[in-house]
Amino acid sequence: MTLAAARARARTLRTAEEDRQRLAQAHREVVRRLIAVSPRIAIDGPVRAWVEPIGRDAAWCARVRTALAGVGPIAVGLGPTATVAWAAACAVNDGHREVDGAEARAFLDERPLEVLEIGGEALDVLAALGLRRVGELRAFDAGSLGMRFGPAVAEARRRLDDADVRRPTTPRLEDDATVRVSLDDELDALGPLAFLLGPACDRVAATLRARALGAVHLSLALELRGGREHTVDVRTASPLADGRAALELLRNELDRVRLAAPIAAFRLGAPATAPLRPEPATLFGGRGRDDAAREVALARLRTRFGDDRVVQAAPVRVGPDLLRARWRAAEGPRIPPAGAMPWRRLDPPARVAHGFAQVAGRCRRIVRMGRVERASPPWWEDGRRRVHLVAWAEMDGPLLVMLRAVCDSACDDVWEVVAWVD
Amino acid sequence: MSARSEAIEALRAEISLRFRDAVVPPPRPRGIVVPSGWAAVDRGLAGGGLGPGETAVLEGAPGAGGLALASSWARAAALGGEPVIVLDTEGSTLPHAWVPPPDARASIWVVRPEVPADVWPAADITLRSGAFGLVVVLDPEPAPPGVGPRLVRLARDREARLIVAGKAPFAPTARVRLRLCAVEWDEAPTGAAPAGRALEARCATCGVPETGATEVRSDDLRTDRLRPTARAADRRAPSGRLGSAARQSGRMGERRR
Repeated sequence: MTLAAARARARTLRTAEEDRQRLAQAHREVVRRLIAVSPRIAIDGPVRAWVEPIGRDAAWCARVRTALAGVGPIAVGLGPTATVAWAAACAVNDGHREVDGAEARAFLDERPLEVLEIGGEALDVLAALGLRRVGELRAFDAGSLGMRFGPAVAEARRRLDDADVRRPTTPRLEDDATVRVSLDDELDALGPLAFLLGPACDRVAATLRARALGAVHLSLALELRGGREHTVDVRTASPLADGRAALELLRNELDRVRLAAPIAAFRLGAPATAPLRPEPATLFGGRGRDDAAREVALARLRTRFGDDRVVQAAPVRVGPDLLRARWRAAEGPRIPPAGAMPWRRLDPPARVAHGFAQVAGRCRRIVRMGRVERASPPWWEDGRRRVHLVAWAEMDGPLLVMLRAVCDSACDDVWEVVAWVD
Repeated sequence: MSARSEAIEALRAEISLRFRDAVVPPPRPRGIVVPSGWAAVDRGLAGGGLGPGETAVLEGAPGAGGLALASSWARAAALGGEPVIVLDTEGSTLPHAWVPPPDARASIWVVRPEVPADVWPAADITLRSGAFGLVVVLDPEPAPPGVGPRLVRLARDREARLIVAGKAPFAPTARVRLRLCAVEWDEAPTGAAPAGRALEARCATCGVPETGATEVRSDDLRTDRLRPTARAADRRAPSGRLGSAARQSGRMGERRR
């Protein structure tokens, strides 16, 4: 629909430029409010949300309207399918309407074709052919409608036959552990930034800690003069609970940054989080070694001496005796390529006992295991035959984990979880 | 306090309550003693190894087993769950010495600074973090004044262990002197090949007189350095058989039949 056509239909229409950030913010706000009335919410388009009802009654509809009070006119439609629910919501301007299964067909047949969301041009053609109600479209089969008017009409026709797959999903609220600081005076150097970054790190860490989470990925966006932006990413192998460790890791990365323009503002967020591990401790000792402190120390060493100067030794099982090990880059924060899954490595690996293993902060059960594959050819050591095996498994959570095992001919197999992703 | 810490506290209290007479308070309650992995050396050290906050110096000529002992100590620490970092001044060690054991509960990192003098700032960073249970410094350059006492203080405060293979800028808690006594040779089709070596270790702990020489036998004869610096003189004749210098030195002349 053109703007002129829209204005012709609604004289009081107000227009504004599309602001994706503002729209996303509004969606977050809607999800935050709706989560009080339903566990499953899916935002669909700018003004629609699918919500799984808890009980089908007017009281629940009233709670939805109360939760969204102040947002604008709210229409709540309840129905056996998403199509019926949408048609019910369209039937009321500001209120609620419930349509049960028995009356759904009759109700839908009386609705105008617009409730099927077919699209402007096809809708006009159908109207020209005298098809204006849903019931009139129901007389034709989806295949022939698709051949003549395109897939959108065929899809709309299929939705009338209860083939509507639109369902609310489990909501994923965007993390609000973000701090944005606008500077009155622009900064030419990165040194003074540390004074502002410290409290920001503390605040992000404290927000996450309150939810028993730690940041595994910190993103610092430096907004430069002229609208440019420079982003510094820090990834950690273990969730960070301490703001000071986060600050140190960011400072290490900032040491390598060359500013192209003065800093006007910065934004610190934690795009990826993980459940906090229990504090390391020993039975008769005090606290164990701090993982975050180790990451900071290794990051400092890398910054000072170069990434390739901090290494670990990995065994190699083939070849001559002197080549039985090789250097590899030390584990630590690395930015994976775009699209890579955020695998988190377990160091040391978690041993699987009776189908259970300690992963991501608690003891979890292996629900399903994939095909077991051999990771390396068998070798013989001290007269015993050994094979490395790997397998994927699903643990409750749900988590996808990678398992490895060293199968020794002299003892039972020992399986360990080496990495996980949620 | 997390649930795990609470559980540990409860278990600790219950054990103390039930077995009041049997529970002996450990001498070093805040950390484990890391043995060297060489029984003869452990016997010579007070406490059977290196406790939290303690330092050790490994002394010996090239080829006397200093690196082998440091490697063994690092692997034992990783096995005991203490993260290890090795500061390789020359960057010349080969990786097989620092592969952690298969059942290790902690990792071993190796830092190879480009400039040898950078090994002391690296030691400072690693000790100051308190995140490593054992810091090993290999063949360091002479340290600037004041570095030695500061590292000792950091190791003590952070309950880390510091081992220097070479000349240390501080008075260590334990000192291990190593000496190569004998090399055993095997006859091979291409000539004599080394099959094992006998080392001599003398251990001295702070406040305890030096122990007598104890013999350590090592079968690991793999080259552990890529660019060896000064090496012990090769006493073999060009033919590969023992030369006259070796024959004159008593035990070096022993061959394994």
